[in-house]
Amino acid sequence: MRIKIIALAYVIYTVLIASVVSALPINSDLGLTPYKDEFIFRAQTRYTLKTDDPTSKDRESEIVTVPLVGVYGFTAKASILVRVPIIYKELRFKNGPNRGDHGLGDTTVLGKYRIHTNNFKGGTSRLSLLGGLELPTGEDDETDAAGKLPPPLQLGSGSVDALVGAAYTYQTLDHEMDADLRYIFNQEASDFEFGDIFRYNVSYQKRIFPTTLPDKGLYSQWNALLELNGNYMDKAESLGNEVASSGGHTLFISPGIQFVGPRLVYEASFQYPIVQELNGDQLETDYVMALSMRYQY
Amino acid sequence: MKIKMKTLVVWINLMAVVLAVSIYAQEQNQKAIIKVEGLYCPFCSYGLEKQVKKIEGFKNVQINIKEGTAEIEFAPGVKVPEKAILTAVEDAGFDLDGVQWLNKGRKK
Repeated sequence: MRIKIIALAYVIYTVLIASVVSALPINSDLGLTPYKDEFIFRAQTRYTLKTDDPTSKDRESEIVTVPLVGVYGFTAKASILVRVPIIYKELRFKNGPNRGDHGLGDTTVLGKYRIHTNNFKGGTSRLSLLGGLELPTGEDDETDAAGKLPPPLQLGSGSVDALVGAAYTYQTLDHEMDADLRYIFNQEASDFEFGDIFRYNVSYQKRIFPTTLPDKGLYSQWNALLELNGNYMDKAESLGNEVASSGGHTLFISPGIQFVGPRLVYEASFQYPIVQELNGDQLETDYVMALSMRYQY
Repeated sequence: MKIKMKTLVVWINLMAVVLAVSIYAQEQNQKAIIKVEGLYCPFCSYGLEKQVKKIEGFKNVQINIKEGTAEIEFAPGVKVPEKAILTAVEDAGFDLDGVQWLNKGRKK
């Protein structure tokens, strides 16, 4: 049962940290399209706390992820993204030793191609398609005093997983709306297969400062954001059997703030779950905090 | 004699001013104002600045996000094809809506 619960926690966790490379929204990574020959570096810190244990074990989970992301534009329409996360995770029990690990996680390589552009004075709308792989660069056979860590506590999945998605953005000088979706086809490794994941994000941003734009030059601005970040997860399978306490639907409402300069972006977001329809006895998420910066070369 | 000397000084000064103005005018940068569609934020507009810097003869650029324009200065005497400007704008992910030259073609 413990493995099942942790498996689901890991699936949720995987979905949460998958949102690391946003250009525009904070909690989704699919909106960014660099221009030709542009390189953007992004570093983010995400802290996830889970203390709501429906069982009597009184478990708590803490996850800290630092995804390091590089995005390069081959052309104005085609770009590639590489994300390497550094992960710390710990599962605490009321009676018993803590379990967890820290180190390098699985690397994501994602290609993006813009198929639709409508530029107009003071704004743009764009639609892009995405596809890529999650590569098993994280350890998946770590052990501790109690033996081999269960798959959800490993840093990597051990499998090569494909993902596809799409991202739409509509931006003006004052407002911005983004929407994206992604499907991850998780594969089996070491007799364990995480369930497939469907993610969807909607984001609205409004410039709050300066209230009036200067007539000349590049300026800096502050944006207020409100995001909805949703995840559907299939049940995991262990040794070919369905894991009962896995899978479900989670939806976060995520207010945030963003400082946007000509070369730098600083941003912060707080994610609060408003829907947690989880199968079985899974730890529920209390909140997620994200801080990040972007720099373009 | 005094009057002739004064006249000579005036003429010399006048010629010096004309010469200075002439040299200044010949060394003025070429200026183009381009209309760009799709400009919407400073982070994105930096890409345009970076792309136009690649154009041969580039000297300076001032982007006006609010109006969707960029004023670009090029070195005098350098031939700047509009196709180079078009390519720079498109490589930045925007559309070019027009180019207006303010003083094109001045040569040293």
